[in-house]
Amino acid sequence: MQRFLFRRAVQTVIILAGLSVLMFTLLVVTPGDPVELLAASDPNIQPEDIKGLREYYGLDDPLYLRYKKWLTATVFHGDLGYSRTYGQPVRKLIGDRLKNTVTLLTAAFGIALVLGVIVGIYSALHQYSLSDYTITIFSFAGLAMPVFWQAIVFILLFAVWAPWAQIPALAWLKFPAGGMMTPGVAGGAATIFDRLHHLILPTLVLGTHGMASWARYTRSSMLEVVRQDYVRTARAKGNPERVVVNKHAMRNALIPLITLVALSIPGILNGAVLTETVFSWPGMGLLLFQAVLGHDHAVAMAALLFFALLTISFNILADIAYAIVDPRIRYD
Amino acid sequence: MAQQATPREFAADLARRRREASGAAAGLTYWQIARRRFFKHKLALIGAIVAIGLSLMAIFASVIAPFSFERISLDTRWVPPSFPHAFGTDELGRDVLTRIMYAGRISLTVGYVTAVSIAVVGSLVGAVAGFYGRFIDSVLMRTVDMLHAIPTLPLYLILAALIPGGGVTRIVLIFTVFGWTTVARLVRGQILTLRTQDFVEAARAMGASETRIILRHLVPNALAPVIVAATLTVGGAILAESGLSYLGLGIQPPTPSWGNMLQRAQEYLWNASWLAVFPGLFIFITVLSFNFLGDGLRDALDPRLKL
Repeated sequence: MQRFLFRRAVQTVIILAGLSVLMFTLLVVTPGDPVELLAASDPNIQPEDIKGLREYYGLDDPLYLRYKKWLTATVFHGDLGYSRTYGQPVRKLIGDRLKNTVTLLTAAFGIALVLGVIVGIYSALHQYSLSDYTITIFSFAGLAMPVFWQAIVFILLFAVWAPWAQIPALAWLKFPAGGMMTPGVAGGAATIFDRLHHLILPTLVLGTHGMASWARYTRSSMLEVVRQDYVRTARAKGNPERVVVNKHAMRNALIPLITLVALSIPGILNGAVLTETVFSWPGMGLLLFQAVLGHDHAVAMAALLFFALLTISFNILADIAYAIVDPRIRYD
Repeated sequence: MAQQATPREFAADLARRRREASGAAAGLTYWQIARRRFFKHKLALIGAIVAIGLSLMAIFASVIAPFSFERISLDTRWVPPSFPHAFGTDELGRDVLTRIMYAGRISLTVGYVTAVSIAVVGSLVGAVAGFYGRFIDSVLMRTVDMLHAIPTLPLYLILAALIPGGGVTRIVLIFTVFGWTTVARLVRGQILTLRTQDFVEAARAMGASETRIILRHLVPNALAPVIVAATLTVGGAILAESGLSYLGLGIQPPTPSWGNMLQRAQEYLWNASWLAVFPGLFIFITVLSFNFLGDGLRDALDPRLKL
């Protein structure tokens, strides 16, 4: 196991290095020089100012030198640089955004997992019933739905139209169309409620894909398990059905799900970028998008590293989960 | 009253009926069995019909579209769905139904071409890796592992933002460069398994002196997962392209694509909500039908494949 982990760690470093080189090169090589933009927008700027700025930002250094500077600063000093667009050190900027994204990801993941598994088990136990067919159709639909369109449709239904919200008792069922909070809301309970209110729609959208795929997988896994002899034995022993399902069938059915879930997390990251954009959720996905478009090098590199690190970590976790779950698999 | 048949005729008739019922090799080929199984799968048939229908719509867009898709008409802006604009008009007065038809061309082209190129590249790499084994295999598989570890959408985002251009080729290229890995893994796995199968030995022992006959056994088995993967890739590519176009990084306007039609639609959500509903609806239906089709193909070509 230790050799396996060591090998994966080495691979991770290589991948991150390669990605950062690729990304840095692309950022530097493509047009969008920040100093030129500044010069174009400010008529009073002097040539010596431009020269000074270029030297300060190190824009005229050769590519490898600039990359080396970024690399040493990031790896050895933990200094992720300074954001040109936001005027803040990148570390502080990312800290806030990271929390928001993690909140959204965790909420979506949690709901998707819980609901998906429950729905999948129910569907398996009531195979060929109407609810089973409905659930299967919804699962297919969830997998085929473009994330950003689903987000827009949800906004349309629950934030713009929401005819049920005309009833005062249900007024809270009309959700905000974006953002993370309403400015000016003070007080503990009100703030929490407001935050939750804003969280619900993005969470539902982001969790749909996961929910659909995990429900399908749980269903097929459960169907397989329920036909096994040991389940029949448990039933024949006279156990109440509830015990048969919960204690014997479900536990075995859920084991292979662990690896699928670990592998699906990078997929949720993909959805997060689009969801954050539609809902203007101030998170890492939106940050990456805006930083790349705005040629904010420091932020873009940092955001990319975040996503890459997360994806790689969960892939490694998935492999470890495989090994734990199936004793026949051994890495050496 | 049953016909008086001689015992020999009866036996022959029974044998024939048994053969047909079991689909034995004497009567049916692998492809015929697969086709029969496919047609029993209702959802897959629906998917196939819808996919073909949408493709026809895209091909004949210029013939069947009610309006010219470039026709800007500033006095009919934001017309809600009604006659003669079945899906309404957008902020420049262009008919939405027409634009959806033309956008279908772009989106479906991206889907099909990506699927084909990923299938080709992936199969080549996987076949080489599976066939020659050893060093080449490990090199190629390390590459696959590394590419697999990269988060896809952020990477596509970065590449699409930084590589200039707004056409189909660029998108397809980006998708192919990072998307061939799944197919390569599939093909390599199949080839590795098939190389050692008994039926290959048996065919050789039976005097199948020509490699061609062996290929007739190996190739269909290796092809099946590739066909399924390619079908599902069409849907995936359409989703990815529409996502990128929505962000403004995919197909650039004025070329319509289902994704970039949704780009501005969010601004008009309160006043012209039909702009947001229809393009996405078409993406959804297209991807759904290709998913059904892929599922049906998977069941037909190899029912043992779980998942």
